Amino acid sequence: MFGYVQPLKPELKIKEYACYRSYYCGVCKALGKKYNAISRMTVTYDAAFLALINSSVMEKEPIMHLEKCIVNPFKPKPVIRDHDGTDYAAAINVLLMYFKLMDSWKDDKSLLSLSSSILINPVVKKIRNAYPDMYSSIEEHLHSLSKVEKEGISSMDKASEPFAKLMSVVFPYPKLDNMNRRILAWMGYNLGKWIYIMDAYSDIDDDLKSNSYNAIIAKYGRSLSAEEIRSKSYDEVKFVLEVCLSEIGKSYELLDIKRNSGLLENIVFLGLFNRTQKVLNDGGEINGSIQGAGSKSKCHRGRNQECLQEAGEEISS
Amino acid sequence: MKKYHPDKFAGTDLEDVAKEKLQEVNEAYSMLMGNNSSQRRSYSNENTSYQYNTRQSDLQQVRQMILAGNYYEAERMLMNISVRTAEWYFLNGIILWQKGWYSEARSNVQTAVNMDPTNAEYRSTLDRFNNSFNMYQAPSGGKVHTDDFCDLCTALYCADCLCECLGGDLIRCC
Repeated sequence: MFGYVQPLKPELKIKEYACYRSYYCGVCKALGKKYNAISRMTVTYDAAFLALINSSVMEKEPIMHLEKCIVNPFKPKPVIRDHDGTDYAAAINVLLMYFKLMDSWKDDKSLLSLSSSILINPVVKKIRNAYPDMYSSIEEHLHSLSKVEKEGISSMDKASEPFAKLMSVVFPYPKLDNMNRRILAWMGYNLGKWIYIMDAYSDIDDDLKSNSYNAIIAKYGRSLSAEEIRSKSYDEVKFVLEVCLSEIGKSYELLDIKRNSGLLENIVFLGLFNRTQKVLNDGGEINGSIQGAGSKSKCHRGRNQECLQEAGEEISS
Repeated sequence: MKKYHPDKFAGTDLEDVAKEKLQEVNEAYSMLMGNNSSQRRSYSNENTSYQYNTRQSDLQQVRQMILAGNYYEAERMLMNISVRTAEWYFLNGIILWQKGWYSEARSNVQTAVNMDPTNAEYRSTLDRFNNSFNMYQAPSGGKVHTDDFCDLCTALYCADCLCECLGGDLIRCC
């Protein structure tokens, strides 16, 4: 369920890309400093976006430092340090990862999940004390999420509601002013719904095979093939995804953005749109792959645009 | 100013936030213009289309609640009405849309249109739902998806970069 929210790299300015990385590294370093080294393994691109958007409406200017790390031991990279935005995103990142691990332990009895969740357990306790309301709220929404799965809900709106609600809770930094918090909550709601449906649509093949719950399969029928389900549900999925995108865009316009508007606009209006197109057009073939890996041979005639995107991605990575 | 226009946010969760923002902008504007009477009518979103007479007074009450922004009460009341007319489906669609239940909202309004194809209000709402993606555009005015001359240049540039990576060169000057 992670990794959908990213910029469209070929359209980024190089300094915007550096800025994006500085938030990503900022979240990672915040994890190391405030919690422990193991929690740094959990850093995601979604957390970088969370840090970025919250920092962009805060009064306090984030400060960049040039620092080395394990991944880049020789060349120092810009990193945002000691900022509420990155610290908050780090906390949420750990919480969501923790719940995800607990979930896969319950579902698949995966020992790896259990041992990892035990390792980050002390960190989670710390965060729980810092944000007690948020913790119980996430727990509650995840509970209704698993209820949706158990009951086999066949409405996309109903099925995506718990995750959308969860995102609306974690998205706004609690200390922001009322107005920005409300806007970010609505943005989070629509982003959550978008992620949930994107995930369901690209997982149709896998979920059919493994006979697991999927809202789209539940609605359009398990007896059909993945291809038939995709073509039958296409209109509804496209409609909901696009409305979510336009609501995210409108919320963005209402925010008091103080910095990084170029980068944010890229993510909100190009990155999310590009992802949507990819999932709608390629169905299950793209499984949330980061940086377009695994689709290198897909340069068909008449799809110049796509080839250019991929070439650009390779140059920038 | 255009970006806060409440019409753009009509019927969504952020409707009141957008109105408040516009109010702020208007006040700042009248301050700048040396006109302190900020009580000047800024923008009134009296959406008269919600207010025509229906025989069912219950449904009319639901309408009033929606207009007042009290969606929660409106939904509760609507669910207690057992006669499901076109109007009922329409109002349910409006409430669902505001909640973020876009798919069900659209099919409810679609049902209303099917039951009463002559009703202009139902039809225009359905159109508004179907066309909501037109609003998705970066505020800086950049088009999200266009094929233009720049793409050709980008293509050449990328091809050149790729050639250079492999030791060749497509365009000498860059």
